Amino acid sequence: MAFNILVADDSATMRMVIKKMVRMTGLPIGDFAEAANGREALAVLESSWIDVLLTDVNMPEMGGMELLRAVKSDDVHRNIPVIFISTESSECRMTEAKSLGAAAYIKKPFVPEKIKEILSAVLAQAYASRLAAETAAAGAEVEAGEEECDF
Amino acid sequence: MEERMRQIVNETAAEVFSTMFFAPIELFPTLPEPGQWPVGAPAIKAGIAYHGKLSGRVWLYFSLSLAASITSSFLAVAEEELSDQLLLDTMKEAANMLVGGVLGKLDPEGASTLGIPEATTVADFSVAMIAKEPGLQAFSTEIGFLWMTYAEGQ
Repeated sequence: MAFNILVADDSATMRMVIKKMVRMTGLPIGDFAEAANGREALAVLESSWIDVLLTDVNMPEMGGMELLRAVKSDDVHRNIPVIFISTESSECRMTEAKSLGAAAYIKKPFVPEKIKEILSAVLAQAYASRLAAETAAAGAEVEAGEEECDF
Repeated sequence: MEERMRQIVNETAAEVFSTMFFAPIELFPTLPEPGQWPVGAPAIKAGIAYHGKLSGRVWLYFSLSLAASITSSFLAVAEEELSDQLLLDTMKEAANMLVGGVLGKLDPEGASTLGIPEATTVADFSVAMIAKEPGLQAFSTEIGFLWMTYAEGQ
């Protein structure tokens, strides 16, 4: 199973570096999607299957915290793990992110090993979520089929 | 610059530039002699403001050769293949990480927030142009000096 990653950062170079570092982890990564702000990220979530969202905090139009709130208040997307990668490194900001439901917070500057450590843990969780979603969907199909038989 | 601030800036710059850009960097003890100041050389000016409990603005002035070297290391792309936009974006990111890191140490409660970084090219940069700006400092790098100005309360 390969996992699709959405990288939201207003810096195109930072998105490029993050993608390179994620590829270097050797983890089973599928497709990458990119967004330059929170609003674009929400649009991507509406049109693509995303397993993990990596986002900056400080972006124009819609920042990372607002994006996180939007994701967590959406019934369809709320289980997507959100990882912050940011220079905003105060304890307060990290605590706020965690309290809003962020899966992890990576401070810039970072090394590839840090990305791997955190992404491994989060992907394990994403794998369990996707498995549960697929099992639930399969169960619903079976139930629907049984109901059809009853008629 | 007071000693504690100087130490924080020096530590943060060393951490950011060595980890992300593979470029050793150190705050120069005093300003270099004017004879070592660049005159009329192309440069990139990158800066970021911060607001809240602490507020101000920092500008960094990179020579083009330093900017190219840093960007090449950051993106793992040969210098010949770098576009002007990649140089500008990477210098913005450098300013963002340096100032964000310093701010995180000066204001751990997070009562200050960073603005959006900006960068522009300067065709004929001379240190004399910024010599009277507040907070002028120089970092020594393997490829000449990196110049910084910072003004509080803007």
